[in-house]
Amino acid sequence: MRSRLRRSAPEAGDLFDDAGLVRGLAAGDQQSLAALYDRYANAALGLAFKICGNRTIAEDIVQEAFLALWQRPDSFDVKRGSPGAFLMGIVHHKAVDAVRRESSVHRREENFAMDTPDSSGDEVLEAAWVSIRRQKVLAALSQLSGVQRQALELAYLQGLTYSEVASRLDIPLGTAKTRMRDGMIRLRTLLSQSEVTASYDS
Amino acid sequence: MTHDELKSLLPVFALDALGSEEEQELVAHLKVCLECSKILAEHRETAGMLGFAAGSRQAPGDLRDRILSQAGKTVPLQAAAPPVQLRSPSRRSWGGHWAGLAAAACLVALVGVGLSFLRIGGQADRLDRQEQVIAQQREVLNLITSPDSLVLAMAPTEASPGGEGRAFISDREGAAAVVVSGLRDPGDDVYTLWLIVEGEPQPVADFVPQDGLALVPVDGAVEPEMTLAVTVEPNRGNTSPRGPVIMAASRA
Repeated sequence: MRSRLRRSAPEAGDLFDDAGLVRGLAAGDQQSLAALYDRYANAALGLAFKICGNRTIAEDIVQEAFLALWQRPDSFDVKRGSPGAFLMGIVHHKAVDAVRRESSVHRREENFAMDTPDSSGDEVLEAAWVSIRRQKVLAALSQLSGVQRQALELAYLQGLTYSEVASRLDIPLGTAKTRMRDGMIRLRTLLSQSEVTASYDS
Repeated sequence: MTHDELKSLLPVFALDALGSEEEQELVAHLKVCLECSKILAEHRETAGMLGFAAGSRQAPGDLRDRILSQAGKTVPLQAAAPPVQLRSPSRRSWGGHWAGLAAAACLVALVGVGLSFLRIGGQADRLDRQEQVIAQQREVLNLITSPDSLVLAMAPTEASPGGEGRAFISDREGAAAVVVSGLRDPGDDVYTLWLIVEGEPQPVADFVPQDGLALVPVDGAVEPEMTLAVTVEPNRGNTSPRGPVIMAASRA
C-alpha cells in the first residue's frame, strides 16, 4: 500500500510543496494524505509521545490528527502558516487534552532528551528536512533566556497549564504567564529570521 | 476581561496552557475579534514549530495503513465559504443577484412597515420611521448596485442555522449594508449585526428576517481590519454579543 500511494516521481518544485498537498486533501486525494503522513508522522508521534508518554495513546493521537486534517482541510489556512506546524498544533492539543482527561496516563517527568530523528530508507529526504527544521527550532530555543525556555518546555512539552508551571517553579502566576508570552514572542521573531516558519514549499 | 487582557493570553492559549475558564472566555472572544484571531494564528504557527523540538519517533507501518484505510471510508467535509473579497469582474454577477434579493427584502420590509429594522434612528413617530426606512432602503439599493462597492461574502460558522449573506461596502459613501437570505425565523430570539472594531463589537442593528430575507444598513464606514458579524441573541438591545456568531465577513 505504501509504495502504491507514494508519489513515485515528484516534480521539481513539488517535492516540498506542503500547500499543494493541502489542496490535494481538499480535493479528497488520498495520495496527498499519504505524502503528508510520510513527511510528518514521525515528528508528530515524537511530540505526542513526549507529552503523554504512552505509545498506544500517542499513535491514536497521531491517527486522529491526520484524520482531522483529512476531514476538515478547510480548517487550515495556507496563508496563515505552514501545514506542518498546523498539524503539530493539532497533535499537541489532542495530546494535552488526553493527558488532562485520562488520569491513568503517566507522564514522563524531566525527560527532555531529544530522540534521534529517524532517517533511513526511502524517507531520508523527508527525515532530513524535518531534522533541519528541528535543529533551527532548537537553535532558536537556545537563544531564549533560561527562564523563558524552561517555561515553554514545561508548558508545551510537558503539557502543563501556566498555573501548573507557576506551581512547579514556585513563581507567581503573572510571572509564569509573562515568561511564556515573552518567550513565544521572542521565539517567533527568531524563527521568522531563520525563515524556518516558511512553508515546506518555500 | 478586557480586550487587552484577553489579547495577552493569546501566546499562552497557543501553547494549550490556559485554564479552562480563561480558555472559554478567550474562545468566545475569538469568535468576534479579528485582530486577536490573526495574532493567535501567528502564535499557533510558532507553537506548532515548537513541536518539532520534541524529536521524532518511528511510526509503525500499520499506523499509516490504519489512517489511509480510515480516510478511505470518509469524505472531506466541504469547506465553508471563506470571507473573501469579491471584486471585478465577479462584482457584477453578485451585485445583480444580491440586488434582487435586497429589492425583495425591501418590498417585504415595506409591507411589514419596516419590521426588519428594529433599532435604527430611534424616532418615535411611526410615519417618520417608515419614511426613514424607505429612504434608507433606497440608499442601500444604490449602494448594492454601485460598481464601486466592495462585496464580501459572509462566511457561515459552525453555529450557522443556514442562510447566507453578503456585505456591501462603499468607501465613497462611508456606508455599508448587509443582505442575508435563507435565514430561519429566530423564534423568541433575534438576529443582531455587529461591527467589530479592534476586537470590540459594536451593535449595528437587531433584525428579524421576513421570509428569510433581511437588509441591514450600516451607518458609517467599514474600514480595513473591521469585521461584520451576525449573531443570534436571546433578546434585543444587547450592547455586547451573548449568542453565537452565525456568519461573519472581515475586510482585509
